Amino acid sequence: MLATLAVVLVTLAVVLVRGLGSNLVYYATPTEVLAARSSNAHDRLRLGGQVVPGTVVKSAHGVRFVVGDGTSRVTVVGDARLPTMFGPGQGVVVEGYLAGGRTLHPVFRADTVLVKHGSDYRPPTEAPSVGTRRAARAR
Amino acid sequence: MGDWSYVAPGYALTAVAFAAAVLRLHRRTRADRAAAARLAALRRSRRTPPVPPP
Amino acid sequence: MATIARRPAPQPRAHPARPSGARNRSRGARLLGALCGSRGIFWQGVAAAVALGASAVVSLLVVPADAAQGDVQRLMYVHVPAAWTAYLSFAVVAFASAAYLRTGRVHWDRLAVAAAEAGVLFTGLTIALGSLWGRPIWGAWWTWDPRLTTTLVLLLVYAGYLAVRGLPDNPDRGARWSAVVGLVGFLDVPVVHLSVVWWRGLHQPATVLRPGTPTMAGSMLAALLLAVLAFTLLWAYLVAARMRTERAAQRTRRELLSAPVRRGVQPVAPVADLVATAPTPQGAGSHG
Repeated sequence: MLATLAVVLVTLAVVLVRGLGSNLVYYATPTEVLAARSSNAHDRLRLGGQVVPGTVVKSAHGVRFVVGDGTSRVTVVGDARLPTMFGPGQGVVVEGYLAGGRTLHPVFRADTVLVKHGSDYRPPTEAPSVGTRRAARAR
Repeated sequence: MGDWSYVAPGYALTAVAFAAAVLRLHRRTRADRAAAARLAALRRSRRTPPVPPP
Repeated sequence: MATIARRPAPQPRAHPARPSGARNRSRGARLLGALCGSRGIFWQGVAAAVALGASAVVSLLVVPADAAQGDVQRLMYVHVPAAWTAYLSFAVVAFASAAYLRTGRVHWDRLAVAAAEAGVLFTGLTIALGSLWGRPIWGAWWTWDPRLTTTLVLLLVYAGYLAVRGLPDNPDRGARWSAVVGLVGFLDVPVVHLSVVWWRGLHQPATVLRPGTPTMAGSMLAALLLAVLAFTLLWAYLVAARMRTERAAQRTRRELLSAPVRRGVQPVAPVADLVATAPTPQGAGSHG
């Protein structure tokens, strides 16, 4: 029992440090990342926002797209392993680091691309809002 | 779609977890009955003294 | 407690729970006693099995899959009910722990430990199913999102609850210590639920348990509610059956402690062995 409790407590400590310690903010927006770009160069961080439509370019080497939050935009390059729901307009969280943080147009090098299906609550037809949902159902 | 490759393990896992939980309780219940039976036997043996009074 | 009492399971009225003093109890307590009696537990099990079967058919075959996610979204009908029953478990643990600390009555402790075990099961299941859902949709089995992290904390706190129980030699003290853990640990439940509101994360916000109407098609909501009902029935069964075994174990322990040691009587195995060993045929005790 004591051993079990010790294991539980150690794991709890690890989880608290790992999960809540430094990153209570799970991701930073493009605006935040750019504002802190000279200080967070080569820090591992998460960038979250929307994939700007019309910016996704896939090639043999990987993928390049722009993540925006309505105010700022950051270009992201990553390898091509993408979740199936990845696409223009989709909310994403990318993990990696900001390269060329001191330049005018830094590029975010992502090793992981996560899809955030935030505001759409899984209706049977794909639209995020009720209006479009109805339209899609009529199709 | 390959979608079912995550759904099927998920439902299977749920079924196995539930079955394991129910089975564990069932086993404990049977063990309880056995323990109670042993105690009853013990009590009976206490009521009828094994050694006749001198 | 109220949730158990609300269960629409059959209630053999003339079948009060075994402990004496069953005479002048309230109707709620009598219903609870009936539900925790052998027949009540049996019918709860039957009801849970039927509901789970129906829910599986509806979730997998009847209800349409989500357009954006495809069939993967069917994991929702097990992931969300598992999370709900985990919340329910820990609410009951907290309530029963508080009642035990106030009154010192053992049946509250039995309820707390039964609910805590169910809670650990359902929380673990929630995390595992969420992982299976997250891999294809998010693109990761796990990420340190606030919702995921706080849920893992919940699992560990209640694993700790169960570990703390066995720590002291005195079971009463173990019950008291764990009751404190159960009460304090519940603080994490609202944190888990509101984590998606308070902090940025990857996990989507609540769909049903939120202010305003659920943002989900009617058929899917119905399927989800059926699944929640089925899981809750199973939960009630697991808790009631676990309380019964705990009661039996406690009774055996009590009798063993009160039994005077006699010469000529085979020493009885410690209560843990009596309760935990493989069943022996009836009456195969020492001097039947």
